[in-house]
Amino acid sequence: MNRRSVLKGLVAALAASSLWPRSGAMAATHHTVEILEFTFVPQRLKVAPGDKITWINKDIVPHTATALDESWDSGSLEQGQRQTLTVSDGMRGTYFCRHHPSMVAELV
Amino acid sequence: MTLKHLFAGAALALTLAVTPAGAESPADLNDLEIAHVAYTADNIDIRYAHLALGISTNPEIHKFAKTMIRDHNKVNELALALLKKLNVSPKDNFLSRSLIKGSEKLVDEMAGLRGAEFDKRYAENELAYHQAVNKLVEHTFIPNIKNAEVKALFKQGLQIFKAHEKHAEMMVKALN
Repeated sequence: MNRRSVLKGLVAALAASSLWPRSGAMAATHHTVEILEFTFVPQRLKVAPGDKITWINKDIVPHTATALDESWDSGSLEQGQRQTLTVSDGMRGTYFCRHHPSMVAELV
Repeated sequence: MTLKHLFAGAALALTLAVTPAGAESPADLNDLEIAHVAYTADNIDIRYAHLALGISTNPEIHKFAKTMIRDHNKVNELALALLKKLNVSPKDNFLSRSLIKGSEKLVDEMAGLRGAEFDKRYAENELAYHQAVNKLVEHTFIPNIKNAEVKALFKQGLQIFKAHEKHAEMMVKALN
């Protein structure tokens, strides 16, 4: 076995293991955003396409999580309701509550 | 009339309402009277919102008015449920009566306005009204409420009404 073959074997072994970062096959993360006391918690969330985000409304009045350009929207969530959306390429940026526009947060 | 004049007028009206001649003042109200004032103030804002939905054609005014109806109705629903649980009834008082009287005058005035003139008047009043009521709730009612559950509901209500105040502020800026 020459050096090139050893190297090839090593690369193949790493690729098969969980240690190798595989593009397009990264495990999606499931994030949770609580809506509590008129605040999205966390205020800033790092996401990647394919991740899921669940918004849970813990306030007594309905809220939404909505893109500023309204290209995506959780729908109106009553107290205790939740909505899960899958992150797509265009979802990053500031979002707000349609009912209470002073409530804003960010997906980065 | 400038916004400053309008707010000064609304603040003065509320000051007069909350400091009448005689022994009564907002600080003297008991929990049941405070609950009545809050219920009345909620219903007044709901009434303004229905007026706005009937007169305005501005989508932003409609969004705001629908939020006022939804949120104030929710708070009233929770307040009534709590009073029922406590087996008590809200008690009418000078401040509730004064708020109703002031609102009737304002509804008559706003009902005569149309278009941008109505939108501006409605938005500016919503800002002044929420500023004045929030101040009263935060600094007079909440510190004076004796029942812990009633106090907790007022604290939740204040968060909601502060968000309304910010929303009204955004609406006023957008219309100017």
